Amino acid sequence: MARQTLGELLGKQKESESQVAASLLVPREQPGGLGVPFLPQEDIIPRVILGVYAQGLMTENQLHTSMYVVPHPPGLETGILSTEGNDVYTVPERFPGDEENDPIENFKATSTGFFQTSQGKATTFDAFTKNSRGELPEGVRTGHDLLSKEGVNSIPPAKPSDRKGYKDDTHYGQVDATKRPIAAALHDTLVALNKYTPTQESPFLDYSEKGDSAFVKGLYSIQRDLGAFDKDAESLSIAELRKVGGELLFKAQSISAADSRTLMNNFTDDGGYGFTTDLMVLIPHLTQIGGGTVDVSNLKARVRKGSEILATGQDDLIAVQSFETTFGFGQPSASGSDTLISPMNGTSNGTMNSPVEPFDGVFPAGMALPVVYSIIVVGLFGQWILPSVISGLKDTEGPSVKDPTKPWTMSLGRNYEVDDSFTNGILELLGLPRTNGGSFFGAMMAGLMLFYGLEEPVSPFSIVGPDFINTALNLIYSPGYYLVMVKGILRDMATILNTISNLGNLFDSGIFGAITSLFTSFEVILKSYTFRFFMVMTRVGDQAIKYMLRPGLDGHGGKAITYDKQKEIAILDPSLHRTALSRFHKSPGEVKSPLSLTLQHGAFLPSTTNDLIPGVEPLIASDFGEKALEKSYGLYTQVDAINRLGAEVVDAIESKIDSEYVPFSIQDLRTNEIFSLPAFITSISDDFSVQHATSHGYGRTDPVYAHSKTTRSINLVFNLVSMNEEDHSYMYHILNKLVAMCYPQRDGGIPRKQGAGPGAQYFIQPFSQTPIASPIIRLRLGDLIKTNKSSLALEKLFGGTEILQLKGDIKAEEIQVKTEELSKSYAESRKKIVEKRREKLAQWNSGNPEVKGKVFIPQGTQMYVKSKDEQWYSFETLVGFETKVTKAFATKGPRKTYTLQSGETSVQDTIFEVEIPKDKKEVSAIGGKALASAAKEAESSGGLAAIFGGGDSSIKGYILPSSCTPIWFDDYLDPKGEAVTGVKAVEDIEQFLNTETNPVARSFLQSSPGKGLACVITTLSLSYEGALWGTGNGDDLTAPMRVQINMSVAPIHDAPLGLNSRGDIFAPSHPVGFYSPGTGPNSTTSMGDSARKTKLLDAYQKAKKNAVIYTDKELSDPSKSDALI
Amino acid sequence: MEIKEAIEQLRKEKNDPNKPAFLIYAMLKTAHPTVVEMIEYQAAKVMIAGEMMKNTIVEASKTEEGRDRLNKGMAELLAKYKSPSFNDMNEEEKDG
Repeated sequence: MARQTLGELLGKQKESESQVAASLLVPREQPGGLGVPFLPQEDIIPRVILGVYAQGLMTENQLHTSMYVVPHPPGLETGILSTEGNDVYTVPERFPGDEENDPIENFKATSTGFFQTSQGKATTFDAFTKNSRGELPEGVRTGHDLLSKEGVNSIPPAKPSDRKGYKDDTHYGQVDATKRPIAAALHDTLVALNKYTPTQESPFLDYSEKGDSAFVKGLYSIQRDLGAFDKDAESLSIAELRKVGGELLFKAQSISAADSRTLMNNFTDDGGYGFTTDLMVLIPHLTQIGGGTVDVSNLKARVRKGSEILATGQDDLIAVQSFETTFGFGQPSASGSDTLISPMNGTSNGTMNSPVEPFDGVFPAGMALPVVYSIIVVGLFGQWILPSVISGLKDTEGPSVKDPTKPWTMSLGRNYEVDDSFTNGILELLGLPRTNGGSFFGAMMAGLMLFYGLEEPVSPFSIVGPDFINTALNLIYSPGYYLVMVKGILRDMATILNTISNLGNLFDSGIFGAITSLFTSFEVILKSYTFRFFMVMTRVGDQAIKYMLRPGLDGHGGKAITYDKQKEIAILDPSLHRTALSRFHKSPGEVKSPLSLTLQHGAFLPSTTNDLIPGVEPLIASDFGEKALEKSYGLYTQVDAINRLGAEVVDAIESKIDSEYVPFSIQDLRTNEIFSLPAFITSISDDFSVQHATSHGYGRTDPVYAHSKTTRSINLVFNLVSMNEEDHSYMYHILNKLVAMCYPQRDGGIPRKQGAGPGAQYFIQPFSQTPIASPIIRLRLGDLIKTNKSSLALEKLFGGTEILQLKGDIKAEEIQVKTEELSKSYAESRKKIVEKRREKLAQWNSGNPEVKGKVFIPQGTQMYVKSKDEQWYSFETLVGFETKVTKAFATKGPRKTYTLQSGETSVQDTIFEVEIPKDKKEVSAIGGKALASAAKEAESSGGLAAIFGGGDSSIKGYILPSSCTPIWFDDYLDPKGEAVTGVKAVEDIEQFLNTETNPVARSFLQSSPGKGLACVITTLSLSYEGALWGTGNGDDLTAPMRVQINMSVAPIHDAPLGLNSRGDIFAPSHPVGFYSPGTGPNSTTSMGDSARKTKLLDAYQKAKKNAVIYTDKELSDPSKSDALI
Repeated sequence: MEIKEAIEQLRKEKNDPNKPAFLIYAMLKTAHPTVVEMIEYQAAKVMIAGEMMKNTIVEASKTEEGRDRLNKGMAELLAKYKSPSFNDMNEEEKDG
């Protein structure tokens, strides 16, 4: 606070300060003279002005009113003063050898400097005088200096040698106000405020006279004279200070002043507890439950004299905020700082706990209540303000869990959809944690419960009950922490509610004024402790819930099996991603990791060896179906035939392996034994080495390269890890199988016979088994490493569709011409198809009703269903399905108001109505729980027709044209050589390539089953570094439980790589996506569109088959779910 | 919504375990009626405040200009919110 000059106070800003000061001494009737000084009390200059001026001087030097403590100067003795100012004792005299209890030693150990010295010793006295105030900063004076120097008749400070002991009225006592009015005013102010500077005669510990009682009865006395110390002054004992403090504490409990005094007297005078005290403990007061506040004026220790002297009402004994506030009391903050609250208007939440109730008491009920209250307040804030805001917006359905395979649909690092809506803006602004479709408020409550010490944050409402006691007990151990939090919450709530209540009249100032007020409210909320507190609680709760109930949800989207559901799973269903759960319960007490090696799919030849391997079970009918069983069983019974698993067995196993997150399998082509492994792959490389024959022509700069050969080498480094004992054994089974893939298969050897007749013994001549089969394997890793054989490749081997379509007798020289004609015809046909598709799509996008008819709606399309009461429910298609567009019309859409302008339509104006199958399984497959809930609601409301409208019992779905790119299977035709007459039908070609009749096709497609890439192992390195070893006694498993395998293979491609005569890729080296067999959308052959159509429809059938039929209990009211829009 | 209506709504939701009112009344089962009333009043005020904020946004969203203002206000507040100074707590906040 800037000090006001005397000139400013008296309205004489133009005059210098010394002139103004001098003028005070000059009676107005004698201008310019030095005559009789005026008496301020009687003159027109109010005494209070001088008081304010004195305050200013004090404030300016506030930090320096106390004695400076300076570092101990070398060689200076310390001691304790007697009442006369003489040394009482020194260290050797008082506590020889007892340094621990020596106050002087303690003083030296804990103080940064010294406080006094002997008056009787000139040397040390000088040193003290010189150093006692330390080196003041330049331009800063102490209050005493001001007092001495102020005014015209200032008196210079006395030299130390001239001082009269501890009482120096000349310099610091009451001065003559007629001679030194400013000094007199300053003196009065200092006395009133008791803020005079201590001198060497200031209060001291009167140990010599009072003995030990000095420590108890007080370190302070009430000194009434400025600049002088009265040793007989009234003592302010600790007991009295306790009374003052205790009384204030009770007042802070909203207890009346009279009751507070009585209570404190009970404590101090009567030794403690009485009836009133008991009541205090038993009955929490309003402030204890955060229900009221106390005016701070009731919480002050005051100096009566202060308010008498100063009209500004300054009367604080202790500065509660800062000096600025203390001196500015009663007035607006002069510095304009908004960081300080004026105590005049301030209220306090009080102490919240009763002063008679110890923190570590048996049950601090007074403490627990505010905590409960804070839960409620926070709950209210979270459950009413925010939901009200959010529910007022139309596009606020909870964030749905996104498919992790579509990272482009997610915000960075988050598993929810990118969204730039206003609502999302609010959520971002408020920093609301996304709870992945879980309950935001459930997460918040869970966080709070964790914070307050409830261990199982399962249900927000489980707090009601015995768990509540745990909360209270938890509070006992850390009450202060909670108290601080609760106080902050309560104070914030008051501010927030006050701000928001101003919204009440916001519409008076128009909507734009209201928006301004709204954002003001938001700002207050954002700044508040409370808001931040429960946001943190929500994040904590969300993490806890994720950890407890939905582990892996972020990583695996909606496919994750939550922890509570995992307990119910006893069998790993093939349709289940093993990565969707962290464990499952095979049998009571037997918890298994889904990544356990023995749980990987595989098929081994039935043999005495394989049957003994733990975890390897004989092939049974349910694994492969009757047909497969027949073959595998047949093999099992053969002893000396060529042992190979049938193609059906391999297909069946591979279809299971396909359900893995990343299928990784190895198949021995000699036996067709196949096993999958967890894809714990640490390194993968795929190298092509091309060699050319070169010839050098004379004068040519570079050689001529003629391709000689290309070799491909794939290297994989992966780990096998045993999760349990069974795995450990099985791992070595796999390892042995892998090593066997590096060695040949041998024949049966030469049979021999010993003896004759019934006792004859047949055997094979040892070492007569001859290698007959080189090891060849199929290696599969997702779609990256797999076979490139396909019907398309087969067609290309036979020359391609053009030549296969030729019909009748064609001369050899005309074949080329005819195939070229066909090629051109195909190009035309393709062009027409593309044009037709584009036309249909344009119709769709423009909302043209002509688009009516069959259509395939792809997976991931946002669709809506509508009840008769115009409630819209949204869902996302979980699988693509074929349906029929029944209408294209303008309507009031779910998100925007669609208005049909006369005679024209636009993208925004139209919405398509399509049929949704009625079958429960189909409903579930298409729309999951959201659609099933809507359908159930429809049923319970009087039938589907009653709810979904349309006059029949079908469900109508609605699609915005922009929400998907549909497929029209009717136009999704394979191009034909329409321009060329006499071509064979596709069916004829398929007949020609039929594996039943075409031996080459049979050989190519069927002789070697398996989806992997055929190859030979070129190197196999095993590393056991860093692995734990089994140490079981007698289980024959003293071996590493993990092995790292470094394997290089050289592929033998089923179909040739490179280009064919037409410039097409003959067969892909990496059959991924477009090149994956049977999925090429732009393919011109029978493996193109038709195959894709089949694949899409197959996916639908598969989804339908696996669809869950929800029980009524599982289906919630859709109007209460996120699906409601 | 008036305070009286809000309190009535609270009391209606008293037995619905899915509503916060259930939690509040369950906790205050043995509390003095005055305390219950006081907390009811606080809760009702929060409900009303939430309602008013919702109404403002819904009302403003009806016009293009209103939406623009909302988005602008949101962008400004977001920028402010993310500035370091906004999140500095002053002494008064710290002391609890």
